[in-house]
Amino acid sequence: MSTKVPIVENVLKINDEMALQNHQLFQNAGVFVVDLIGAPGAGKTALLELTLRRLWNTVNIGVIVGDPATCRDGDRLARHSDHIVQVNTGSGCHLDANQVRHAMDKLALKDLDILIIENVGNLICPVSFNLGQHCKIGMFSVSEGDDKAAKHPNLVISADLLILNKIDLLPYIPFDLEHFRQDVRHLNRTAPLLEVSVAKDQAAEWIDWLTTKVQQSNNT
Amino acid sequence: MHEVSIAQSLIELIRRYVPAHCRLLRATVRIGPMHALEPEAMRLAWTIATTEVGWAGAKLDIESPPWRLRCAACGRCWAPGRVDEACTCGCTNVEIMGGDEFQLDSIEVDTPVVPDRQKRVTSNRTRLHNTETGARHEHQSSNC
Ligand SMILES: Nc1nc2c(ncn2[C@@H]2O[C@H](COP(=O)(O)OP(=O)(O)OP(=O)(O)O)[C@@H](O)[C@H]2O)c(=O)[nH]1
Ligand SMILES: [Mg+2]
Ligand SMILES: [Zn+2]
Ligand SMILES: [Zn+2]
Repeated sequence: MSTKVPIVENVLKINDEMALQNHQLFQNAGVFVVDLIGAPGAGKTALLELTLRRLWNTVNIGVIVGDPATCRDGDRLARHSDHIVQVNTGSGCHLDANQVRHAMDKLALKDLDILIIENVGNLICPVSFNLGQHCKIGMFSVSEGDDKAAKHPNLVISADLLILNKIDLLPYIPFDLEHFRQDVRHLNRTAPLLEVSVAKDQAAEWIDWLTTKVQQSNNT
Repeated sequence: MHEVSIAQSLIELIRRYVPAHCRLLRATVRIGPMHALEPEAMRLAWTIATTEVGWAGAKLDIESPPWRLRCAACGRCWAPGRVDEACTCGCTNVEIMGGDEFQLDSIEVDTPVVPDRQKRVTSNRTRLHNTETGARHEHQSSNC
């Protein structure tokens, strides 16, 4: 004898519940939180180094950075801010809401205006695991090839902002920029697409986007 | 291999619904192509995750609804091969209507062998019904 039990719940409901609690804590502390998602080596940490350098005297930025192993990204970022927490996920290929909760406990959230969560380098599952963030950012780079947005629709569809990094490499690598833009537009008509070169210090649009978002969230 | 953590999350959620002394026999999930799950990897992860919690042999039914798009210009709805397909009218402004499903639909549990004492008080079927499929679930199924 067996009994069928209807359920109809999101598979990641337990993570979502924890993410909601995180979100509430972020709201209470008045901190604007972004989840930065991109492939390994897209330039996530480099973008955050630039951001911390650029904004250190105007806003307080904390970073939670997830990597399978090492504290290398955390060490790089710690040169620019005291509010850095490195999380090692071992074989885990993404951060979940529970890991973020533990990392949050190590930060003085009340002192922060912005918290950036650099997810584990991976274009797939970080998208499904909510962390409690206000915005999701999808980051691609020229060296990965122009088909990566089309191949990862989930990230493009879910993102509030899309970044294409390493545009300084366009002259050296076959990369059809127009095609990439079309793929992105096709999947997501509302999220801005920022084309930047972190290495060349060309990311003014990103800094504008971030500071505008923080102001908006302070006003609401 | 995000299938591993998804299988573990699924088991964690299912544990909330499996009554004491019952074993999970089957779970039915509905997962759209948006989540890029590889069914074979998912089944392997499921086998490992169920065995770990003492539910070895529990089946996993994966329903895979296709992408569904709607054209903003002409209103046509269709199930495309690729999510970034344009409409036959030439319009590329299409809305995603389906394909993002990520849902645990139902589970099946065995009816446990209950000590005589308890059996007299209430039958398992009734207890299951009351605690697990009461007000919190809108979708009552007929065989419950
Ligand atoms: N040419 C070029 N190289 C860049 C640019 N931005 C970053 N890089 C280089 O790309 C490499 C990877 O950068 P990281 O910042 O470590 O990338 P990441 O996304 O944090 O990588 P993981 O944390 O390992 O996933 C480094 O060697 C950077 O110097 C850019 O705009 N142009
Ligand atoms: Mg990094
Ligand atoms: Zn993962
Ligand atoms: Zn049409």
